[in-house]
Amino acid sequence: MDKKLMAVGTSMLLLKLLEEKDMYGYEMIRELEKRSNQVFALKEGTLYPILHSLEEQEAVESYEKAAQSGRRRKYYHMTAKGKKLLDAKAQEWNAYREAVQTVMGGARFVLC
Amino acid sequence: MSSVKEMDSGKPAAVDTAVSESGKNESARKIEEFLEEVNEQIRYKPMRAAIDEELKGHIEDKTELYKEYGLEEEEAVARAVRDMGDAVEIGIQMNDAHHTRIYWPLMGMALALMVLGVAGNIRYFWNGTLDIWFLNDVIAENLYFPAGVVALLVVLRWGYPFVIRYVNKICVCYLVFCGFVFLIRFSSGFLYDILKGTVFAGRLLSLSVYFGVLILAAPVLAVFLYRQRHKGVRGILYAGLFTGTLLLTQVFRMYGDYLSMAVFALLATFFAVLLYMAFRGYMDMPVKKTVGVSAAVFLALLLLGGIFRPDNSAIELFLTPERHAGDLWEDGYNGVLIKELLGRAKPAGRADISQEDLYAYGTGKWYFSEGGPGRWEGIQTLEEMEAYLNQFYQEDTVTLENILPQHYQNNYRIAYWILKYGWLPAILLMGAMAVFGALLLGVSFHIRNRLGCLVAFAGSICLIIQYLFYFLGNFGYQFGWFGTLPFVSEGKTGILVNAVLLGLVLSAYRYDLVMEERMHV
Repeated sequence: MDKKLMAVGTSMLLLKLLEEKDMYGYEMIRELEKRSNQVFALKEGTLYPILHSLEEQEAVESYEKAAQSGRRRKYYHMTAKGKKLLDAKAQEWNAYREAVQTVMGGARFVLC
Repeated sequence: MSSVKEMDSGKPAAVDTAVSESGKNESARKIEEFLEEVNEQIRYKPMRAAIDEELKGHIEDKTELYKEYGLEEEEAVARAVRDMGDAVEIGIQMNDAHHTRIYWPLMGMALALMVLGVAGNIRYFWNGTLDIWFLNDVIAENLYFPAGVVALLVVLRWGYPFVIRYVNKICVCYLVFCGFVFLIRFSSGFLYDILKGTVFAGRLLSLSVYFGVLILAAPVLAVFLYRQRHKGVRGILYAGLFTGTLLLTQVFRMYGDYLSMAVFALLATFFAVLLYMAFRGYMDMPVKKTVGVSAAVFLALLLLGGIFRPDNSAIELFLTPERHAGDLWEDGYNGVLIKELLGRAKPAGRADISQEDLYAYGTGKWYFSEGGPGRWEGIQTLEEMEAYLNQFYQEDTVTLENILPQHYQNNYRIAYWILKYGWLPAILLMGAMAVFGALLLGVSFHIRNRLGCLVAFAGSICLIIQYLFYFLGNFGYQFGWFGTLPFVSEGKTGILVNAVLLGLVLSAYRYDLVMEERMHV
């Protein structure tokens, strides 16, 4: 997939995860893998520039908190602006999905 | 639990938990190499440590997972690092997300306002010939504009990191300096007389320097308040105590009531920053409680600063200038005269005032003559004053510039524009300054970093308050000592102080994307 498109899609997925609770980067990667049955197994380092860009856009905020193990982790929290961004991206995605389905559905009809 | 080999090939892995020391070193080296490659792409070096820590934490978590699957330390680290992806690409993308920046609209408008100020000064001193006197005046009066630009650029580059790094030391310096000035003036005989005679101390103790000291305390106070946010009521009281100490000279009216505007700007910043922190949820106590305590301390400080003192001459001058209009040189008369003249201004073009009326305004006859609204209290008689003024102009030669208050090019720049060019052009220029104020607030609230936002907010409040009070003064409502119209009117301390304030606003914006919260606390 085109890298830029992938980044846009990934940022939507990350925001979706953060909509539920505040998470740190590694936790998000694991959660994405789990929920997508390993389909979204990104190069893990690429997650952080996306998170930092979202922070630049004020869609997320970060804070540090010590985990149970004692290790300090940087948690991300979705802002109100992030929620709006997620809604916009989800709408775009739905429109895209419907368009793809229409085209693919039409193609199957012809083939059948 | 599945093993890593199951993940890769579906076969169980052989587990060996013994880790050699050399293996550990090799693992650490691999992580360091990866982080170094990322770092090489990040131009703003202070940002590197925070990025390192986050990426390193991720690698360590993933390493733990691989070790749980049965891999040895070295192999686990190698895989964890490999899973991260291309270090250079990550570094480049991180650098894109973290770069310093300049808010050009604000910078451009400040420079445009300065050009307007310099042009006004040149016009004021223009005597029709390009002689040595003209050049001397123009250079002397405009020297602080380029100095202001230099101060702006220096503070833009280093100001914000400096303030947040050394805020405790800056606060101590503030207390020492204010204590020193207070003691010297309090001794009001021996020490004051000795020091007043010296150039350095004389300047140090001057009204304009103390004005600058109070105004520049506002961004420092914002940092101080932010750092007290977890201390509840105690934190607000500490900040109140710090601010109150800066106002000691005001308690004893050592500068009269001239500094009332600076005191008001500082205290308005105190209250506004606390309100902002309360409503944004930065404080560790309920919003209502924060607002209540902040308002109480704010009012107490206003009382301490003498703003509500019944005989505060700044308030009197502001509300009832005619009570302070006993002769042509009193500030109250300036307010009365300006109000009268503005009533004759036209929507566009020069105010239509006859030579006879101009002369009456200049000599004060319109106000102080028998039947006029004012009462002459000057040392000289009104006739003696007229004879004195006749050295400079007669009824047939008097001009608008002759009759305006002294230093009108500094203190009444707006009123002068209205009288000379009409209301519409002047309103346009005031509109441009309102846009400048809106940009200041806009950029402050655009800063994502909490402390950066507060520092910029504090600087913006002080600049906007100066504009507001200057505008009011130009409509005949002068409050305290005449400040400058930021970046436009001539001044020395005023230009430098405002350049520093704007520099801090722009500096907080500049470092917004490259400074993490942890760097602030």
